[in-house]
Amino acid sequence: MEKDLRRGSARVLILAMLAEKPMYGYQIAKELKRRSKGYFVFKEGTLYPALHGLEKEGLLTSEWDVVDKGPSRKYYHLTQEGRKVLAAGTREWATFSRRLLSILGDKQSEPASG
Amino acid sequence: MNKHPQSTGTCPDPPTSKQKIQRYLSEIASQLNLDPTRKQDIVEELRSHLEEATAELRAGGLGEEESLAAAIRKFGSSREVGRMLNRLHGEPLWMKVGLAILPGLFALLGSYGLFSALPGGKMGEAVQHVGLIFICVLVIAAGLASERRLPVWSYPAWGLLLLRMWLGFPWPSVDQPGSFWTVAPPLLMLGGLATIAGISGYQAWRSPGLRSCRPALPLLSLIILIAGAFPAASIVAYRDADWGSIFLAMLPLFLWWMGLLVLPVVIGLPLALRSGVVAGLTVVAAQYVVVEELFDPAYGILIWTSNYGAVRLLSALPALAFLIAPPVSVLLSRQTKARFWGLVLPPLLGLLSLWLIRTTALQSTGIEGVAQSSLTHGVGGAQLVALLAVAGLVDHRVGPRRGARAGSINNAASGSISSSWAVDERRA
Repeated sequence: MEKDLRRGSARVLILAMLAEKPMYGYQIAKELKRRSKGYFVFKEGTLYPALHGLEKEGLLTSEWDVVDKGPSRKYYHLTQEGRKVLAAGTREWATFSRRLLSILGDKQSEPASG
Repeated sequence: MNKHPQSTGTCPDPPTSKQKIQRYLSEIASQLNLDPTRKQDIVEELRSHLEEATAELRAGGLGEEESLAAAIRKFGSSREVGRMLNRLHGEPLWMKVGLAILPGLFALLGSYGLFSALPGGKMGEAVQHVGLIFICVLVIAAGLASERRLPVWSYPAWGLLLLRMWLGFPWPSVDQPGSFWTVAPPLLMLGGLATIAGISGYQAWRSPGLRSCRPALPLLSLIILIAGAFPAASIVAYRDADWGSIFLAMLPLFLWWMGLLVLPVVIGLPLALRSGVVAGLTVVAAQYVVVEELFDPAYGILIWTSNYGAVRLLSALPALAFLIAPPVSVLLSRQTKARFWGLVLPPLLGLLSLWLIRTTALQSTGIEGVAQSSLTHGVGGAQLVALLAVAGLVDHRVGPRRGARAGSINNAASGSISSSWAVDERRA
């Protein structure tokens, strides 16, 4: 269940990261791990199908940053459509967690049946 | 979007790490069924990630091997990453497979007399020959128009077209004295082939990634030498004849046969340089299909049985193997070795059957007894040796050695990915 929960939040997590500033793939993976204190750790190769999928849907755009010295990186930017989807996703997750906690809170207060 | 960079300009990784990363990325790239530009863009993005991850781990105190293994382990299985990317980006294969086998199917139907049923005897023959050329040109034009290059699925059309052109030259006759106009067409075409062979051989020699193709030049020399065995054997058979006249009379035939043997290699090699050796060999498989004997082994089989139904069925099997198996195998297989054998094995079997049929079918050549047997065995054996040499060369280049090295890196990348977002079971 825990894995399913994390898997389902992938889309909104990527969009949320890119809402702050443009990032490249490795940077997104590092930031997610750092901010979640290691909770969101995943096979980094799977990030790219997710990013490319979001780009195909029009939620992201990308461009190469070619530099003379150092590695060249492909930065992803959030589009207007991506911001709308992020806002809707954030509301949905907030509602989900609120409703879930309300039920779990009731369950936790009930005495265990014996 | 800006184009991907031509060079990574990355952190100063040692060449060994870069080569290992390249091999890992090649495993991923081999599963991507899309145009080279888009594929290269994706590979460069993944390369940038892996190089930065490796450099960061080395800066953290890990050794070169450990940091590379850890970076690849964190990245995931190349097979899974490639599969997921291809599922997202890959182009549908059914149309490419259909276009790849279309010319061969047309040739096969023609060889079975489908078009002879058309009203007017000449009409059927015209449709069969002209129609095949038309379809080949159509497939090649579709490839150039849609992908602005020679795609792999158009190679069988190239092979059939070029071999049909070659077969279109008048068959040189041993009985007629050799005149200039008899020798000129195959000589001119051979000159063109030699130019292509020279350019492709030079490119192979210069390319560091294709050093194993350097034996291609002596291989071509070997093929020419073997093809020369045919007239040489004839000269030996005619012991009392004027050797010079026999040689001149045999020269057109010699050039014709040499082209038939050399053409697949010299055309396949430059295509292989562009799209991989297995893609180039698709031309080899397609070309041998058009050689009439492969479609019609009935002569030898009829010696053993008078069941025409069985003859028809048996004669269809090698044709189907040559026309259908190679393109489908190349386009659908994910593993280079499977693609290689899917291309080479049908022509090998075809040549073996051709050799067997020739040794049993007593054709009237004017040469009798031991000389005839030696001649037919020699020609058939030479063809088999030539193709085995090519197969061995290609296997050395793309065979198990490369697969084993890639496998050892993939073993370090443990873990499986079951969805578009796989979460590591371990928490930091």
